[in-house]
Amino acid sequence: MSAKDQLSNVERLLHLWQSQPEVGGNIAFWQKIPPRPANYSDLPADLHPALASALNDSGYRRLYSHQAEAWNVLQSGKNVVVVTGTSSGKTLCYNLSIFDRLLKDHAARALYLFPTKALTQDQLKTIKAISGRFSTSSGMTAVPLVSASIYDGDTPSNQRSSIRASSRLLLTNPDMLHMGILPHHTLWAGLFQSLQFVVIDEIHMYRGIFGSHLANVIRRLKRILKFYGSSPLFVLTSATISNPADFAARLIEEPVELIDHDGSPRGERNYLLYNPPVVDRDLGLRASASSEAVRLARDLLAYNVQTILFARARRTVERILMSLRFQEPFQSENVRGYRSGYLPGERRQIEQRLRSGEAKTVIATNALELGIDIGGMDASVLVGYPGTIASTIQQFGRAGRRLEPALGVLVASGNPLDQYLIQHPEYIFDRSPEGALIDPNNLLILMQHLRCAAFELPFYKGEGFGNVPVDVFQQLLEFLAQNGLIHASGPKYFWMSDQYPADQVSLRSTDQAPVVLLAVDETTASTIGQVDHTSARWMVHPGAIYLHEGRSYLVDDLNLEENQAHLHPVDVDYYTDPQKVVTFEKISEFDHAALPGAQSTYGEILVTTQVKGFKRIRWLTNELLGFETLDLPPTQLRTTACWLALDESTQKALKELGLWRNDPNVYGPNWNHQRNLARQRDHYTCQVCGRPENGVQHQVHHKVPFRTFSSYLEANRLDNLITLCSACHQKVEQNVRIRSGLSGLSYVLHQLAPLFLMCDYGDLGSAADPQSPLADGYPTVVLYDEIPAGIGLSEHIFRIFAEIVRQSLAHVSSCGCKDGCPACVGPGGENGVGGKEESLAILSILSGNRLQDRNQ
Amino acid sequence: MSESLSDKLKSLGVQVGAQNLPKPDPQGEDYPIEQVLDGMELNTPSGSVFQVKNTYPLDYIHGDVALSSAINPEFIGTWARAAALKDSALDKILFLDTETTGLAGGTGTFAFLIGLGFRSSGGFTVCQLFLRDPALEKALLEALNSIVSQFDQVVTFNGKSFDIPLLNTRHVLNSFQTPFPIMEHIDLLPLARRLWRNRLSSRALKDLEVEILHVPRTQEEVPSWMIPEIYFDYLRTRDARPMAGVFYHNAMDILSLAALFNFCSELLYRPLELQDVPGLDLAAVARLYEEMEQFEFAVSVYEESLKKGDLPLQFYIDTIQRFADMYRRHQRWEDAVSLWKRAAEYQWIDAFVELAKFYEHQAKDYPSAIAWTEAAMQSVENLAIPAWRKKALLGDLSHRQARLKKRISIKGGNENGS
Repeated sequence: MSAKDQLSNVERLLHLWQSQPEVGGNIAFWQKIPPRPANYSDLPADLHPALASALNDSGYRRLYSHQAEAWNVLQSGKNVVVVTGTSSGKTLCYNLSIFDRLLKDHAARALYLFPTKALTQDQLKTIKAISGRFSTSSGMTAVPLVSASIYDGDTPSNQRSSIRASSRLLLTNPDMLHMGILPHHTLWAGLFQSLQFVVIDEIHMYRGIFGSHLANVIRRLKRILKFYGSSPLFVLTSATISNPADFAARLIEEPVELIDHDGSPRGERNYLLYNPPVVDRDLGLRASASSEAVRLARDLLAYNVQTILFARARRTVERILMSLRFQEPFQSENVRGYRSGYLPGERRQIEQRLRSGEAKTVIATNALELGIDIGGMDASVLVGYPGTIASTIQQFGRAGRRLEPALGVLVASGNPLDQYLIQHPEYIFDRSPEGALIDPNNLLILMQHLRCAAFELPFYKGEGFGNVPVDVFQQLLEFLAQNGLIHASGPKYFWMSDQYPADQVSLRSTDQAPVVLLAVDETTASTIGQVDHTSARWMVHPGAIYLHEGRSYLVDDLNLEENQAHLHPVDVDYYTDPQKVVTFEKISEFDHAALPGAQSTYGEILVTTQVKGFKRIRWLTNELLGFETLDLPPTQLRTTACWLALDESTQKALKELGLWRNDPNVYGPNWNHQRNLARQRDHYTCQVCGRPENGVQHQVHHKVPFRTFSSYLEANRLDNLITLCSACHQKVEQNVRIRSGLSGLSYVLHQLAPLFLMCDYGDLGSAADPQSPLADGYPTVVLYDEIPAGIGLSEHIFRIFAEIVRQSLAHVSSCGCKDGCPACVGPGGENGVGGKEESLAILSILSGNRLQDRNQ
Repeated sequence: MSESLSDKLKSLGVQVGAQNLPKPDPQGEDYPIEQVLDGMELNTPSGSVFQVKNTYPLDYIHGDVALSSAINPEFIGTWARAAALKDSALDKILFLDTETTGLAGGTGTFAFLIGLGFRSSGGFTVCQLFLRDPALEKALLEALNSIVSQFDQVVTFNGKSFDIPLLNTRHVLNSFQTPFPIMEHIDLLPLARRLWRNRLSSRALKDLEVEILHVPRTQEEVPSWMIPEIYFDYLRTRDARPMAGVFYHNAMDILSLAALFNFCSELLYRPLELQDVPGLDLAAVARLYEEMEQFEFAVSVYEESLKKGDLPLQFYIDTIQRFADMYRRHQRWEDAVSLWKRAAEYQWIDAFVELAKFYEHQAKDYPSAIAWTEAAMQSVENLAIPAWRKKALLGDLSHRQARLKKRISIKGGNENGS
């Protein structure tokens, strides 16, 4: 046998790719991680014999070091958070101690929380695989059964009371705990009195709003546990995030020990960052990530490498699935999709076929990212950066069975974050810089849970609620009392309402119900999608053209009370562009910091958005077909924000820089004619300062910059021209430049900030304003939490602003585009001016670099 | 800049509770409950509880029902699986109804007025325990338990899913042992549903009061939905005057509960001896007997309900069917057949089919079986039902027809064999 024959399929394919320039040339980064041997520990000597023998029968003769470590920490009575890789045996870290306790103490009980129902089902199987052996294999009739059950929205009502009474291991989700268990805690008195462990699995899922809610649900749980006199240990697990111990401690508001030395063995891992080739250099356009992923998937299929492809959107899953099946018609059966929306039975079947190896390729959303058991894959292909480093690592981790070599490929999209990571792979492969952020004291979220808590048990004066400052807490109680929801009597506040407050709180959002899009044909109405309540005003206002699956729909009406929009399919050659007016108002300032040439502020603002009208614009030519006004109510968002105001010296420096950059424009054959017409129309007078021409001709300015237009005829239309004296023209041009520089700056900051915050792009809002009311008229960039009252994102940005600025500068500098592209400062800033150079200049000043005269 | 937390919450759009809440009138007088209602203090280790106690004389009639009359609860006990009720003294039965701060359930809802009724030496006593302040709940529960412990059975209306779980929850919250799990519990709501499902549009206690007991309520009555707010306003203002209406409401509920219990006991115990019982009620009672495996009673009450002549056609046929079905299960074929034939006169398909089955499988009279099958087919043809349904029915029937014909031919060729 030659050496080549011993290579695995993955290795052979990697050789092939290296030899093909059209693939190998796109591999921007290749990390090979050598195999790692296992680090074992013996089973603890004092383990309950029934558990030891059940483990033995299941093939566990010893533990990995991190499992033993978790055992020791829990034995010493401390909370623990375990952060180890995918399929490293994380669940045994808690199951070991819990089974042991439940076997030794026949009253003891445990509560498990999982973020999704599917994961709960999966974990129940794991638990039963071991607990099912206690009675059978040990042969000891005296050993009590450790009964485990799921209690969630799907639990049949005729099983509920027996689960409440007898289940010693209760598996549920935070929503059920919040809505169905805590408000009825007396029915669960048996569980709460004897609760010794609380497991919170996959805590990296609880960031942002969901996590802020969960932290409050935990506060409520702990209040109730105190009432029943128990104080269980908490065991948490997490994917790789930068602050697992801090984050865990914030969730449960108790000290937590960290275990992050992974003792499980691992085969060789190859991680590739794959950047699709540039197809249009000027526009910075690259081939699409999904088409490149399909091409890689075909090779993987041909080499019989079992592969999971992760796509960000459900629709992308379907598109890739179709495309791959189309190109590999004979493999159709072996290529499967997996996403929410598939029926449970179908999902179980796909999972089973993946485990058995029948299915070769599965295209999934992050529904398969969490620990659903599909066995190990050989390769994992990420179609676009999944949004967080933690998800990236999780998704890569899906590939790899024990000691076999495995492959992970991230196919970058054209988004700035993807392109940034291509340049900076260390963000993925060295320690993750993301921390999960939550703000349990977000006033809106806190208030919701205070009501739930007051319902569950009367508050007494001087009681607290988590780490909420006592005076704030007291004021909140008074507020509830003044509004008649609770009644103070003696030392206690009694719930005094016929409401069931948990019904009104959804843990997964703070938002109102989404607007449903109803497409009305001649005969039928069908739901084609939904849009969140706030976005509805600018996406589906009356008269808007809404694009869905490649079809145009005209919006007939938008009913914000009923949360419905009616649309009908149309065949038109234009699109609509809403004219949003966003205004900012400062409410208060919490903190300030100085950056070179600027001041940053963290505070609270009111963002008012009104859609005043919309433009109809012809496809291809971008010709303006008309403008219509709308009468829609404004929306207001009161939230926390971080803003950066450029000081006078910066403005001055930029103005000076701006002087060098007046590229002579060639304005087309009718320019002289149009220019003279404009001067004539404006009576040869500057339309800003009113100065008439005096020997020297005034200049004529394009209101919307010339290069925005594809047709000079459009650009040179009289209504786009205005006569200005040279002094005024210079000011106006400078304003445009600072403005586009600011826009570019806000674009890049907004795009890169999620990398540091572990949040989604849409969790943040941003704006640039050359004369901002937030900062006394100074040019300002503002980033804010898109969540009422904020969730801590802007506060964190404020603290690490200098770092974000530094990284933005590095990123924009290294971008190969000419004057701005979607991957750096955005496709032609506001008004279509690229603004890359201006953005770079601002970023340099903010980073403390001296500006270079580019003529030198 | 110094915005209060409460203003901030308002500007964030936090909307809670009611606006324009009544405030105590600083000039006004206090109207404590003891000035509004005649009552007394019941002392417990955890504080005192305000109690209103009224005894209705032995001859008191509530609507049509004498509260203290001798009744036999044997069958109602059997129905409710309350075995001890049969031998229990009538004065060991406690009637219970609570007024609460809402219907939401969960730990945030509590009872502020507990009405208890029982037979006493002087007649029928209603005793109401009032929570004058939520902080005194422990005392309320102690007072309640001191009374409840003297009884063996508790009778409620919807207490299985509401009052008793709620009181159990309150006991847990106050770290008390709840007395109810060891008592027999008779909830009249499910029984009322069974008895009057087909005759009355609502089985709520207030409607049964009108339809069954014929009791009017006075001006004092307040509707249930207003009751939580009246109590909340009382807590805020300390003006107990509007509470009088709630006490009246609760007392009436207890009286009606006791009256309904007497009425149902009698209806179940001797339905045929009572005057003017509608056929629908008799049919419902017959069904209950059937379920309680009181076969002979069921037969006589079914017969009586059909004899009454007041059953609407649909229920008439329905009752015949059930009655016949009961006979069938008891192998009383002759009686079943005669009932099916009665139903068949009304072109009732199922009756034809049952007859065909009987003649095929029991009587082995295949020609009759074929005749009934064909009668059924005929009748299906004339039915005004959707075509697909017709097709399905006819398909089954012709299948049966074919099988029967085959049997005849086999039997014909094999006549000497058997």
